[in-house]
Amino acid sequence: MTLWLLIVFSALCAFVFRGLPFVFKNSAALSQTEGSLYRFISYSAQAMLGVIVYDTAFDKRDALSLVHEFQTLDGVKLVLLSLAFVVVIKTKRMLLSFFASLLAYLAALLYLH
Amino acid sequence: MIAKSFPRRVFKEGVRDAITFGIAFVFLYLSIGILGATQALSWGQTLATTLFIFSTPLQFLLVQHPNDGWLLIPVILVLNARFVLLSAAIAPHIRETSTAKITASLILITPSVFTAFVTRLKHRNDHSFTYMIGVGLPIFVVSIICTCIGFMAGEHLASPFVYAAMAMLLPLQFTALAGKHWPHYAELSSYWLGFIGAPLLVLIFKDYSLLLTPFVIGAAMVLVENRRKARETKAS
Repeated sequence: MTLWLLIVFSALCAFVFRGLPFVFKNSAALSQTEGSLYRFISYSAQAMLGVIVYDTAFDKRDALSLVHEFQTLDGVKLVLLSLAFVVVIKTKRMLLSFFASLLAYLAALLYLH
Repeated sequence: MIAKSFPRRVFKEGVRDAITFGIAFVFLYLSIGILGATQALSWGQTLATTLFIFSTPLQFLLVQHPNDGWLLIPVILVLNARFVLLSAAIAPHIRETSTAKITASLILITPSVFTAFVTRLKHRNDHSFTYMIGVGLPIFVVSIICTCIGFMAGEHLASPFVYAAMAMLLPLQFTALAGKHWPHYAELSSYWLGFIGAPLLVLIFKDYSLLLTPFVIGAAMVLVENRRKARETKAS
């Protein structure tokens, strides 16, 4: 039962948080896309994606733990994330970048285990 | 009737882009289905996370820690907070759209749809809402189907290797998405500062890192930009 309640709670939160900014969609501060507030929101959104990526890939380890427990696979992850980024910039092809990096990661996983 | 009021060309453009921006969802939602089955969630619970939450990190959290109960509430709030940022960045561009349509489409607002939306805005801004639906709807439908397939195949596919592979799906997807912002350095810098700042600022912010780190970086970026602009204005 608790899990169902958590799912309902998460769904309500997601709905409210997704919808809340639209209540203020006509406010001057939000509608000026060159204004400081809009840029702050936009950059914070990008930064949040970066934080989520680090937390997911490196299991939320802080810098000290990462350095002390650094393994070959962590190095592979760093290299592949950088490569995925550079390949998209150079080729403009996201699919190519995603699949090439994923295949390389799976190959590394097989080799290292 | 629908065809007249619905610009098909832009919708098709969105559907086409959904393949690029949403392909990773096939793997992500197969994974969520697999995890749901192996963590002893019911089919209804696993599917409900996709149907009503549609947030990959949050769904992974729920299906991986189904027994953590109310301890998950702060993390749920933090993970959902990012939607405020995504919606706030989208809102000014679709403010002409009716409240009913926006309400019905809120579930489609995800980082992938957001990135596709923002990338298109750099060169075109017509029928932005239609484009968002074109990108988001196929991704959402495919995600629902993949959740079901993953759940049905769950026990056969579960292994430590598959779990380890799953851990990199989301990071690779989001990083490739970030590359689509090139050459908009401010957005790119924010993304990588978030990535680099996460392991450092977590030492200070602890459990609130996911909530606070992005805002610190966002504020720092705006301050730097405003100072640069002020210098340029002075110089000219």
